Amino acid sequence: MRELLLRRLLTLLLVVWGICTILFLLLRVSGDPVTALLGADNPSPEVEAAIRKAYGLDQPLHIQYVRFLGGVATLDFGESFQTKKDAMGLVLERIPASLQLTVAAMLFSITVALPIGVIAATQRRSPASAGIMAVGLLGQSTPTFALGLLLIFFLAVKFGWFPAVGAGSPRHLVLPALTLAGPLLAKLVRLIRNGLLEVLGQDYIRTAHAKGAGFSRVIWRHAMRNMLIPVVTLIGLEFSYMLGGAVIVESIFAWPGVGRQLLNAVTARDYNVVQASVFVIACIAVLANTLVDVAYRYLDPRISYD
Amino acid sequence: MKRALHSVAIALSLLLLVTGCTAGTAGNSEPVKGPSSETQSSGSPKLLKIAIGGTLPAADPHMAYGFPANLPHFAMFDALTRFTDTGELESALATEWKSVDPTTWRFTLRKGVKFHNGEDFRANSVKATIDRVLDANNKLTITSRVGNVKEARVVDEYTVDIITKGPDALLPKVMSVVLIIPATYYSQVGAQKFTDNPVGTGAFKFKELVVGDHFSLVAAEDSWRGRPRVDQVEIKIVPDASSRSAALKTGDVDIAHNLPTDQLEDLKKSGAQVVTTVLGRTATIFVDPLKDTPLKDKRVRQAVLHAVDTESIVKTVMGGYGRAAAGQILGPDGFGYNPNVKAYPYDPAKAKALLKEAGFPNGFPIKLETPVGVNVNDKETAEAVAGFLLAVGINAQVSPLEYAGFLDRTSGRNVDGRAPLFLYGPDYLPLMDGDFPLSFFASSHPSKRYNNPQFDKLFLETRSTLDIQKRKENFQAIQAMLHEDAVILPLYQMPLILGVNKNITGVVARPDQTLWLDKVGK
Repeated sequence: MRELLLRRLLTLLLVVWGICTILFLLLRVSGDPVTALLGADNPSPEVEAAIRKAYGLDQPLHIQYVRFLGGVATLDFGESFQTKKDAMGLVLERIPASLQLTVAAMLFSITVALPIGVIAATQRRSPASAGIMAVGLLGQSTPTFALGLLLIFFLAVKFGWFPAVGAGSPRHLVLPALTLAGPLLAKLVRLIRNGLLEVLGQDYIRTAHAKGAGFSRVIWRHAMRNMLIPVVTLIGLEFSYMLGGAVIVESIFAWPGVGRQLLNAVTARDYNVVQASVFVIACIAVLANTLVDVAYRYLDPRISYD
Repeated sequence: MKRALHSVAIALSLLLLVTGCTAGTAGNSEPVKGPSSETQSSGSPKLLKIAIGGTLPAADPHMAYGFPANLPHFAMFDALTRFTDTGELESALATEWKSVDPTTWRFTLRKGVKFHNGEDFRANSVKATIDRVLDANNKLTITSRVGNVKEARVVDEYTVDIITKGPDALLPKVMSVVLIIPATYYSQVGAQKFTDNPVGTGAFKFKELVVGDHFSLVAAEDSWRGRPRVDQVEIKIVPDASSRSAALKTGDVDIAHNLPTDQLEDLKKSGAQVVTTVLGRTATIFVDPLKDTPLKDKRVRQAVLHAVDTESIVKTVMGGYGRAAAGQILGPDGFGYNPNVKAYPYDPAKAKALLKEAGFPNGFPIKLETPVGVNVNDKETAEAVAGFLLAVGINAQVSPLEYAGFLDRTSGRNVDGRAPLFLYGPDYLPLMDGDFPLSFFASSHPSKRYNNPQFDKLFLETRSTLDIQKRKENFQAIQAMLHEDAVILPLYQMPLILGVNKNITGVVARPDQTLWLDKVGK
């Protein structure tokens, strides 16, 4: 286990370094933050040059890169061009909101998907199962913005049960979490159903039945652990994706998360915020996947990492 | 089976538990708080909530420019001059101004004005503001807007001279966007603390800013502008226009800024008011006469202008909002508007005849570049124009530009890569003057769109004379030139649409894209 964790730490450093380097190059190729800062007009060349110098953007690329790496080592990503505040500080301010949304969406998806997946698997030929699979397909095909706007239209505007936009109270969390959870819920249900179907046909399940185990013991004690690996993998992948990629949900609901912050920073060419943001999200992603790998060992003791 | 149903029930109750337990910590992360103030003692404080798109990067008035930053900044700060609702320049922190020599404007300052922290407003604050804004090392967005200012000189406590690099008739108007900061306070706390705790002379004081989420203001009791009608203001960032609409309908906000035209009927039905105006910004197709394309021929350019029905675009693409342009970039609300210039009449037959005469009986293919989402319905407008051009045989390919590419086109980078037709809305707001939009056609402009020595001569004169009448005549003349040479196809002045709750009064949508909160009541 210790070896695993050490190796993971090394991987983390390598992956994050790689991402930061690629990002550094891409940003500098994509366009000029100074024109973005000064707006769409034609600024005077002296002002442009002075600002460029003040931010060290007139230095040759390799010097900028060395300074950048030096900063990363101390977690100093410089100041945001737009707001002049510490870039890493700005990102860390938004992380709790994103985590809250992601965790809420995940918990909802998992707790609803498990029993529904079980029903869909065990009641295979019933209309309930067919209905569940149809709704699942719908959930996976509906674009996020459509789902979000529909929820706002019905539950906020028409019935007034929830606020339409914003954050700040548990009621504000419901609609965005539901919207973010939708696609994951659908994927999980299908995955769980298919996984269970495969497992339930195995010999050891029949043995368990024969030994007199009740329905729930068969499902939860015997079947689940054997089919959870793909489910846990999906959860790990989706977690990182939802954390940084919930831009659409954040835009529709005006949820103050890192996805939207990153998008704004990219549009405004605010290099330092983009770099800090991607760094944090990359670290969390690697962490999440490490946890998934650790979970594998508990789910299937036969797995080892030699 | 029963167990599974039980599990569903447990899952749903768990969900309720989760949402209940996650105490609303989102949105409350580290706000920057300013000095608090007491609110009206009678009843609960009147809170005005406004939903806008865009970003509010800082409370510092010099770090951002234009809308939406000017919404909180003009509430908290004042400039030497400002514009009335009808576009005239009026006094603000300066009561009068005059030109004492070709490069010196003398401003007489208003007496009895105090900053929110009690500091007196005097000439030293004007000088400190100008000094700060002129220093490019401060990395301020507004520095590039005061390019013609050389320095400020204190004459006495209530008089200050602004020295310009050359004669500048626009200077009093330019001063309307330079918001004045307190000299003593700023020198004591420095830039970083000032942006965290800004202090101005305006009708509202800074309360808190959570970047990317909201900006809160509270009424100032002793501002020279008088006490505003509401006690508190919260400006929420809601990027999606449909969500802004929804938030207005649910009552989460009182004013929704910049709504798309397709939601307005629905809003009106739900009882909200729709407050609208046209902006000092005209959607215009730039027709390039210099590149080696069929557009080099004036007859072809004239054909392009005759082929497009601007009135119909306003009606169908813009839902009737906006105002069709009169063959020129400036509208009647702009300084330099030429009442004798009219739009080229919509005449597809004439367009086809011109094309045939120029040697293109079967038309030709051409690229039309457009930004997406920068202005209301920009892409749809480009597509409508392409449709009209196709009807006379010109196969216009609409090429969407992402924001970076759009900035390149407007600033003149990568001139060779750009398309011969370009949809752009050059601003003549907030100064409502022809200087900025017409500068694109000077031969010295990096984007190299037009080369006419006569145009250059008249345009440069507007920048070096203090004679208002001469400036106007020159602008009118050069706009007529652009019209005659068919290098622009002005379409419409863009609309600004606000959705306002029915119990809110005093909301005025202005062509310079500012929204003054002093008179807004709830």
